[in-house]
Amino acid sequence: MSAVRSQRTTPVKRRMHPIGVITTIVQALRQFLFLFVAALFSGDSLGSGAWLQLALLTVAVAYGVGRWWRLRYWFEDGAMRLSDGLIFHREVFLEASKVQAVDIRAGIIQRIFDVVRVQVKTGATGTQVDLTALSRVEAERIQRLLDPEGWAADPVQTGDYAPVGIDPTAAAPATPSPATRSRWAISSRELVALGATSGQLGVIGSGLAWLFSQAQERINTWLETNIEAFVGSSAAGTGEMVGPIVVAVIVLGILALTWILSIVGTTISWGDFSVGRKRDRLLVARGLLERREVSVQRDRIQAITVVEPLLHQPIGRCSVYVESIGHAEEKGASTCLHPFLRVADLPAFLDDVAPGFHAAPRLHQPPTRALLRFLVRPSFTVLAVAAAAFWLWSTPGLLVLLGLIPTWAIGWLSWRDIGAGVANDMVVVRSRRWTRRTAYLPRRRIQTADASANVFQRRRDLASFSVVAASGATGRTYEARDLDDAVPAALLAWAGRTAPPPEAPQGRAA
Amino acid sequence: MTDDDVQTDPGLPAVASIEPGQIAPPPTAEAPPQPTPPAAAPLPPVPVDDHLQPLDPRAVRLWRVGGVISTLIWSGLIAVGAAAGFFVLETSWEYLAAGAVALIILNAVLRIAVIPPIRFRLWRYQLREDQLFLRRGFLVIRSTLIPLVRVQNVDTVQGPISRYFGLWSVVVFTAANAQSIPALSQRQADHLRESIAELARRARDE
Repeated sequence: MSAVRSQRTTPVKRRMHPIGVITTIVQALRQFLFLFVAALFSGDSLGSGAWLQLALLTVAVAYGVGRWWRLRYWFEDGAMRLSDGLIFHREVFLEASKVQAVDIRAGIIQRIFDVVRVQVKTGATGTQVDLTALSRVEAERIQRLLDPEGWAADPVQTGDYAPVGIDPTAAAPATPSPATRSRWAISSRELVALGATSGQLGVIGSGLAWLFSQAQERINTWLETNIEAFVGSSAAGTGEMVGPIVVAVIVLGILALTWILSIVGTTISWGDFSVGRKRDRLLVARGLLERREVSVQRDRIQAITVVEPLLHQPIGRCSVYVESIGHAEEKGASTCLHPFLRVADLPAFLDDVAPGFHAAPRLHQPPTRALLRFLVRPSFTVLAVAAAAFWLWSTPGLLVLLGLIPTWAIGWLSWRDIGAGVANDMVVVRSRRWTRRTAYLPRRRIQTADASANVFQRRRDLASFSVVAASGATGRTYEARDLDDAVPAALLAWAGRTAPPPEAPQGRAA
Repeated sequence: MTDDDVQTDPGLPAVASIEPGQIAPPPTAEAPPQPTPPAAAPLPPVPVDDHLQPLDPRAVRLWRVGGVISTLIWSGLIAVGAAAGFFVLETSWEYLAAGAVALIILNAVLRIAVIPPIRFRLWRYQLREDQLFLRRGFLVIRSTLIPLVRVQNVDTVQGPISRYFGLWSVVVFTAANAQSIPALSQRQADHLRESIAELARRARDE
């Protein structure tokens, strides 16, 4: 350290964009929101509550300005440093090599004032640095500075690491937006289709149904008076006549509302979607009201998962997730690369966005003797429910047995789809129940590989194979069950690098 | 170092400072121009296992003690369940009590007498040149393979009952999960831990 003392200069310490005062206040207000609400409802007179609110607001503003003034960050020795805090002082030291993701996003406030929010994450404990208001240029500069390989790729742009003779404040030359960005955009028609087939339909629908049941009394009386007025029916037996119609109308209404809400929600959260590659990073940006930008370092990608929900299978669409270590945006620790990709475009998409992660091996699949297991095992649940229903309602309860039909259908589809195979030094594992999931995992990313067989599987010489990839702070397991027991053994040997890849399957085609 | 005491060594975070084993270097960095130290003394070979290894035979007694403890807990739960059943179903208590006692006895016999020796007989591990192989189970037999390159950390741990028997577990951590080999003698455990750590280090350095 003493050797370079002569060259020392003071690093440029920066504050956030002045808008940071507002965003800090909003953050603080969010923390005290319940106090505000309490103040609002406290006291019967307007006066005391309003005074309390004013006092709180003053405190919040003072806090925001002070925090903004105290928060300063700078770069030094290949690390980001940050000094922050009014009452509790915080000094952050983040080595660039330990940084796992720099996310740029923009909430409503940021969008109004044309600034962005930057979150720097390391593996250990999630977000370490959260700068709520920065200019976009500054945000991109931070992203570059904290990106060791980016530094190696173009040292000229990363000013702060070589302070001599380079003006760190100079705006970086705008990196040309990769052509891939627009190529995988989602059209508005696709957004509608995505919303209409979203997996959240059930959640929204049941939520609405619950809300409706809460308001049922009032709606019932309203409906009865109105419909009676409209239909002008006789007083006698109105309830029985109108009942089924009303129920049908209500059910249809809930369905329609569910769909509309889902489509609107999908459009808001996935609108203006783009995905692309910038040097060694994957960039995903989405969202109309709240802009989310996620970047994933490509050499931290552990696996790619292709998910095909039941509703997306007939229209040939899938969503693509990337598992990476030390980065969590949503869905645990996987990041969605595309929510609604044409399955036929998958190879091109992966070649474009995540090269080296596509392989199309013939899959080793469950043999014919395994089919019975796929049909029998899930039937037990249905039979148990049917027995309970029979006990409760006698014969009509047996209608539950109709549930066997979809159960068997799914069992057959699972048997048909499941498989595991090896190509391009990658293992591909496909599982399915309602949703079909295909995982692409390079051999050097395999954390552990398992072969397991229970008593019933052993009787039929079957075994399940699973691999574990690192994802976030933990692991993610991909399993293909009920394969011929020679297959998991061969795949295990392959994973351990002691054997050539197992022979291409002679059984059913994939 | 205070805030103002700044030096401008442009020392960069070396790419290689990414924890090895967790993240392999990107394929582009294929030929790092680091000259290998000339005439490096060949590393002494780490002994690996030729065959699948059993656990320490005292494991059976250890698991029996564990079985006694879990039997006590389960007996309590079964008794509570039977009592609840008595109040809910309003059937005669004799049948419920008989059923509960039968369940408790069956549970105890399985956990204390039957399962521990079978589990011991089925438990095997093998440290190989570049991987650790485990096979164990009772109803479900599971084989697990851990590439040593992926091993981040190896611990030996000992609980209170294990301490009484002088047994240790070796726990192998990867970035995704932890696998444990229970019930080894101290010598066996220490040896295994050192060997795994050393082999993992060498595998990563390659």
